Amino acid sequence: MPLKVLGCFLLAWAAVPVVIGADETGEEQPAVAPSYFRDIRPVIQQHCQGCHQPAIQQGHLDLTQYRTLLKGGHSGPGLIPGDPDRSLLIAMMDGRRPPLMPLGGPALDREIIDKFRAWVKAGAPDDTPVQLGTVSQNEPPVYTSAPVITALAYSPDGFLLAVSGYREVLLHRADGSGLEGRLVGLSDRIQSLAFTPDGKTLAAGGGTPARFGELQFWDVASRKLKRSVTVCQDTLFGVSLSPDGSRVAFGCSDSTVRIHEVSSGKELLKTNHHENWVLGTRFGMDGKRIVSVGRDFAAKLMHAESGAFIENLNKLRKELAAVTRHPSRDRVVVGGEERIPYYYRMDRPKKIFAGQEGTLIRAFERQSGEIFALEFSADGRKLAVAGAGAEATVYDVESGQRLAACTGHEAGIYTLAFHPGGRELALAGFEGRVRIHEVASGKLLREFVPVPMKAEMAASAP
Amino acid sequence: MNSKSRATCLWVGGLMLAVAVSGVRAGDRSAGAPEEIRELQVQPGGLVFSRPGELRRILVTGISAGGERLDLTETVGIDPQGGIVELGPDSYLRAVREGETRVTVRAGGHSAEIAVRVDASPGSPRTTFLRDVLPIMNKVGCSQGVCHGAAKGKNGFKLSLRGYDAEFDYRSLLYDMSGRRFNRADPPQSLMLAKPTQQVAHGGGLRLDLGSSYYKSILAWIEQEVPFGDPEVDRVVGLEVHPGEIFMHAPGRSQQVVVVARYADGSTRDVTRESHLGSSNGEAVAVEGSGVKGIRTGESTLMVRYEGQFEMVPVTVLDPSPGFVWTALPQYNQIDELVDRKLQRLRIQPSPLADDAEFLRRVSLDLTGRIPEPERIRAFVQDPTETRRKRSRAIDELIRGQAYADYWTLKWGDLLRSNRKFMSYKGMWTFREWLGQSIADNKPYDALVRELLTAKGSTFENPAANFFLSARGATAAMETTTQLFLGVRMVCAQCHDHPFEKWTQNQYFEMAAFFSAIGVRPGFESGEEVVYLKRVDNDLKHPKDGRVVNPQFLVPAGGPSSIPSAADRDRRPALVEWLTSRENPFFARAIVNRVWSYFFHRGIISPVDDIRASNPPVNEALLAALAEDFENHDFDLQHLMRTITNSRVYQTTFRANRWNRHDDRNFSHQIPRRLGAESLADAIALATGVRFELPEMPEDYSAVQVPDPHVGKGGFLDLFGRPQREEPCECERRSDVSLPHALNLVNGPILADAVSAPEGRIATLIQQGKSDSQLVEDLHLSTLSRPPTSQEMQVALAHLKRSGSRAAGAQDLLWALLNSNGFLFNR
Repeated sequence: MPLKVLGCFLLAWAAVPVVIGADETGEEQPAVAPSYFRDIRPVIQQHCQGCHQPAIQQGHLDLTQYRTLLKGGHSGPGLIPGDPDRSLLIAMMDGRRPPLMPLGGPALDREIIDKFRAWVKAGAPDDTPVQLGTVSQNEPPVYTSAPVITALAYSPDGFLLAVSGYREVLLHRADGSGLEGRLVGLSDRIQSLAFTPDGKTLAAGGGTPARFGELQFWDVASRKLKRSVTVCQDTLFGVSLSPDGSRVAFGCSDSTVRIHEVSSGKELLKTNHHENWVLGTRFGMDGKRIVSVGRDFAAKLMHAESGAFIENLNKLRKELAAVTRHPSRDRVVVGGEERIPYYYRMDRPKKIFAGQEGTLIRAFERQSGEIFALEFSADGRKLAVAGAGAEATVYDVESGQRLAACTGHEAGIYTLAFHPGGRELALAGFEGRVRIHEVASGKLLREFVPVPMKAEMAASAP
Repeated sequence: MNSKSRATCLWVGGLMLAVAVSGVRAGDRSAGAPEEIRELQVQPGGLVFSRPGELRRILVTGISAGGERLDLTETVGIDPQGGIVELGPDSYLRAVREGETRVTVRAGGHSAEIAVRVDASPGSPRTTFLRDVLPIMNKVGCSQGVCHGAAKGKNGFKLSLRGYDAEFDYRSLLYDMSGRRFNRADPPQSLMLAKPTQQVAHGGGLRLDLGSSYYKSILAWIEQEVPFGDPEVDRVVGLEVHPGEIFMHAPGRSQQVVVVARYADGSTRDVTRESHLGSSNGEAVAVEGSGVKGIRTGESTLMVRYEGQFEMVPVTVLDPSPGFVWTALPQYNQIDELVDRKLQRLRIQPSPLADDAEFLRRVSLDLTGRIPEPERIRAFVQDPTETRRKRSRAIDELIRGQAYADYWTLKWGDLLRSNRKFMSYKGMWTFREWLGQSIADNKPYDALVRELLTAKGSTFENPAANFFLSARGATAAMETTTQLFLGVRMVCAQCHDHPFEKWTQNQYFEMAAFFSAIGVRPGFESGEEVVYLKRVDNDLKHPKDGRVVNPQFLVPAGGPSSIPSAADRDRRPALVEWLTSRENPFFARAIVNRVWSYFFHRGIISPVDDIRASNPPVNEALLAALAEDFENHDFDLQHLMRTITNSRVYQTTFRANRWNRHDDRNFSHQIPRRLGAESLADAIALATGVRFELPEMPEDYSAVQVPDPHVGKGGFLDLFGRPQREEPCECERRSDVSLPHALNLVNGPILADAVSAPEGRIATLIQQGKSDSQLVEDLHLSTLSRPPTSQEMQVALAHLKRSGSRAAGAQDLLWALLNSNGFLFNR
């Protein structure tokens, strides 16, 4: 990413004269230009960001970033560098331009406003330090306690199990014999993982809560990050790949469902049919349609190319957290707060009756806690369901019968994955341990903490 | 802190102490006169810290020679010897290391010593959600009703209201959205820290300061892998508040408090800063930080809340003016003794007895809802019998009369919602008949309640069964029963545990389960209904999990040895046994308090049907004595009313003196109350000699006798706040005074027509050939229930002379009298 790096340099450069000026001359200097990062930003965070944040954008204004502050909102640019008298931000803080900000509260102290004036007068320099990750590929995270696990995925050949860590994805050998690699990125959390059908690329969706969302595409063989795309103001949820592996869909905190191209990272589609956070997506068999679920209770069916809304598959009951599609049919299971997995067909039956959920095939039994994860086995015969109830249950899809229960967990399970071979089921969640169960019996086969702990590393060091 | 700076600190502290102490002295002249301090007291005595780093606050009180207590907490000098503890902020002591020591406290030239012990810390301190995190979230406001505690949460994050459901909040923080709110791998990056510190945008604003002790506690909790804690160890079981009572000798004083929480495992913690303080009377006493300030003379209750537990501290601010001398007035019965006892302590001089006319008007209105006839007043005032005996006889006469039964049928009809809307027309009359007879018979209160609550059968044949028509369904019957007969409002607990009370949602349904077998089906006649016990579908299911709820008493005291279960059909006899038991802590108190409120401007607890620990009585001894006397006289309501009306306190004039004019809660003088709608209508009718028009009522019916609010709906009675009998709440009757009331009386046709009616009082008097002065006297007696003063007489006579006709002049006078406070108010 040469361009990005250059940008960082430029920013650092811009900050240099201000900082030096302040340090060298010290108290002799009558007016040291205030720092955006140290003086201005905290005031904005404390008094302004409640309303002027990406999720709310009152007056179409977002004051969480320097860039958007400069851009301004409805009423024009936020400020004119070098000219505090004509800067909107200041005029609304000192009451020259109504309404007085912060809205409804007392005016800010004179000294604070003076600080803003001085900063704008000095050209409103941005001295935000370049956010250097505390970790990198060469210096992977050091753990003192195991982070929660939010995503698991087996490679199509069944050799690797990808596990979410903190700011990284860990590649374990699926047989439990050890760690194969660590894919360290920027995002604090990885919410979902998906291998392309050819097994060459691993798509990871996540981000840092309340800050940004990120899509990562990893080259599995080289363990290199091929591409990172940052989108949204919060983590991405429910990443899924089209059946041919060319497109990736995900849900966002701004209620959108978006589809990007895997090869270029470009956005292909952004839809706005949901009314709350979207937490799960799945393509149909032919990749032309997509089902998404979210906190607005809805499982929405739409065209994956035009983004046109087709219909809600379900009766709106409670928040939905997960969706999965049958591997060989256009049928989905959704689940969430209500604790009941509902099995729907994506196409309406020929006969429909008023007041009935014509698309509903079956409601499975009620779980012991909210549902966070659902998955079909590769042959489509079994369904595994897990969640806050700290257990996973395997059902026979055709009959709805309970086949096995995977117990022994002490807290909620956030994610699960069937091994392509169909015999093993991986579960993980709050506890930060991966547990592998036998599908047929539910028996626990093995368990491990997927991240290297500080104590272990110290112990293994010579 | 190095030794040099600590020395500086001590020196500065000493200087501040000197300044502050002289400040107290300088303030003497303006606000009361605290005397020289003779002794220091330190609370709590004997501090035990469970680990180094812990903070505990001490209170330092200076005691004067006269026994006055002055809070010196904020001006105190503390000398922590031996380095076991050090001085923290706000006169907190911070434990430094394990050991025992004595700490010297200095103020006002005196010193006191306290023993301090610091126990060893067993490894790193254990931080749990229950004990540490939840109280912080409540304190900084996360779970307020307008934030994440709202029924739908806020911005996708939902907590229980004020943290009453710790389990729910824990799951919400940990599991919702796959645990995005905490970050064990990099705890400071946790969203639940980044949001309230505004490191990322937060709609709720800045709630935590980076690096504050709260911040550190939450951080430590995440570092310790977010443990929930053990309810058997970490639950708060009680609070200790110091001081237990606050008594200020003048406005302007303040008093700090110390709050110590006691946990299930026996350990304690200083939670002063995390506690919520509230003052019941903000005009007299204001909360300032972790303490209170006296604003003006008066009383208040300081409510201290922490994690579902609460304690009450009575606060009194005395009138500091010099020259108060207690003048003892005669005491007629125990009421006077108990009221006087408190008044004397508060330096409030009660007013003397009202004169005979004032007394007769008041007692007639309070016992019968009517003002006395002019002849009755003349006879009473002229009766030479000794005042106390004369009044006692008048009380007995009033209670024996039909007007008494009519009036109390109206009052009980309000509370029991005698209303054709619920009971059908015939049912309502049947019920009214039964109520009237019960009152005329002076049926003991417990028997009345028993008949109502255990009634079944046809509502036409068994009138009491109508009770279950105005309170239909198990929850409505339960809410009505608890509010009417126990004075307890349970309705908040239907959806969540009561935020300021101990009542839980489970208790709400356990009490309702006593009524879940009651069914109502139509009878043979039109409008007739039959109350019966259901054989099937007669249990109550908990809305949270659908389990069948077994009935259970609100408090165990007074319950029968075997409590019915959900399998028993009629659970009501057991309920009534518990309800009317003398062990029941609410039953007698609720009714004596309610009855008291009908004779004064307020109950001893107010509102009368909102009895809870956080709403304490203004005079506990008085309430307890009345309740005990009521029980000892077999729940005799007439005896209770006799006791009240025969007291000097009741018979006191409404005129205040300089020592009791601020008092509005200790019954040192009567406080005028506007006449109720029905009494006002009847009083106007009596004064003008013109019947008050009542649609569908026989001619000889007065407004007090009206059977339900459908008679004359939307008219005069409703304008003046007649209750609509929709709620079992005393608050339904309004007795406010507002512009529409004044306009109606000044300009409305009811008064104007009645004053000038050809068959009215004035016409009759003129016809009878009364002289001008007789006319004036009669008009005063029939409105203000007293003869005119000589000045009033002169003014009135002059007006009559000036007027074109005697009739017109007299009408002006009557109209003016009817619009005067002396008429509109019972005082």
